[in-house]
Amino acid sequence: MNKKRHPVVLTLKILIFFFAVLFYYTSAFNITVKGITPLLILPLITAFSLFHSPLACALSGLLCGIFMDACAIGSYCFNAIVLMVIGAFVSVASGNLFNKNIQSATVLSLITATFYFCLQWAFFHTDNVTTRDSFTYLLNYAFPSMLFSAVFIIPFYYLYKHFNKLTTE
Amino acid sequence: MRFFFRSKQFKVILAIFIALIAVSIIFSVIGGAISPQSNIAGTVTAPIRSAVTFISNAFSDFAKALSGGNEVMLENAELEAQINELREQLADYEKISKENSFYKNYLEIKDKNPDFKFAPATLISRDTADPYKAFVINKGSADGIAAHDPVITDAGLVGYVSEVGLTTSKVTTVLSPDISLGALDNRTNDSGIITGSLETNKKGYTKFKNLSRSCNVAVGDYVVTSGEGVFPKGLLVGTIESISNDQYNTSLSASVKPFVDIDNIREIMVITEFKGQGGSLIKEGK
Repeated sequence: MNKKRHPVVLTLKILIFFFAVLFYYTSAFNITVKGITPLLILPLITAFSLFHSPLACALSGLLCGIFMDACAIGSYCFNAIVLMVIGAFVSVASGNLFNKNIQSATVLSLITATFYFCLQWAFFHTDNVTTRDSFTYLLNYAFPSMLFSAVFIIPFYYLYKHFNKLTTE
Repeated sequence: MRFFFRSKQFKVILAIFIALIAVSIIFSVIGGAISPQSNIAGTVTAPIRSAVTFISNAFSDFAKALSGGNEVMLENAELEAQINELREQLADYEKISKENSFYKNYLEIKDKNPDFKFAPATLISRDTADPYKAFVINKGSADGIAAHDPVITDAGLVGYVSEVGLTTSKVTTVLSPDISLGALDNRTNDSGIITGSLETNKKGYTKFKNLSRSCNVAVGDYVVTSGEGVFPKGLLVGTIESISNDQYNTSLSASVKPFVDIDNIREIMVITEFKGQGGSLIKEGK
């Protein structure tokens, strides 16, 4: 199948990524339930990566990650590295190990969310804090955020499936 | 799958991955500075983030006014009655209460501390991933801000600048376990260390720990900075809400409610210069 250029779809994809990151760092616009905020960029990258090449997904993840690192000001390139790896992994895994249906998307979304939040916990919430605080973070913030983020794969999957249909001949 | 690992795409991804790991290691060793790609992205997107934060604040204010109109009116009436009563009792403070505007309070701090040099800044984004409410401000090294500069509002201490970019900086709040500052009970002069923990953070409090078991601190006392480390002496931190034994019963620790409402901060001041500047965070022991 050939891909055809569709400027409107391309613009929409860029804007969705841009605002998903921007709103995450703006208190009035993010969806917070009992202190838990979903990281919409994770299911977004997962849904995007189901229908694009590994390089395109890795670069998209990289750009989103750099933007996130800039918003949160981190001396480490944590988001840039992790989102790049997630993009490439989902793209390769969906082409070789999984299907491109909603069930696979859900499983991949859970895997990516678990990967992201466990790494975040290991890197930023185990050093300089008590063991109790560290596990409190894991159980009270990381796990709920993981599940809350993964849920958003459903709308994003159908959105990107539709985009893919529009751009595929 | 095997074909992917032999492809050019994989090699490009691997090269970028290794480069990013190298940048991360270098900048984690340097400390206090942000990585170049984040710096560029931060500088380019700062105006957009400022605009979105401005819209977000306006949206927030509108939603609050809409949802809590009656509640606020009742609360206002009650507060007005309390203010009138306090005015009678504390006539001496009337003048001060009239001058309760944002910049006037800063001028007051400046009058008390002529050695302070301030850089005003605005919050442009919050680090949602940080449970300790870190945030990003619209000023960086180009405006004279450096790592470990104290950050205040007219109500008291907010935290310190933990990382600095060219036009943006990250502020770590007093709720974070990364902060560790020498503090005193303003009434008794008992000293301890202010540091955050996830446990106290749930209530929006920070911890005043390492207090001697024979100290006389009491609930309601004010806690101020002692001047050790990166913070100047006498900055208001908060009030003691509860006192308990520490884990091993060797000292006391107190929960401190910061004077600053960290959730609703919009404007802050960074103290870029003060007498005796040059210390470091106590825990880091630098």
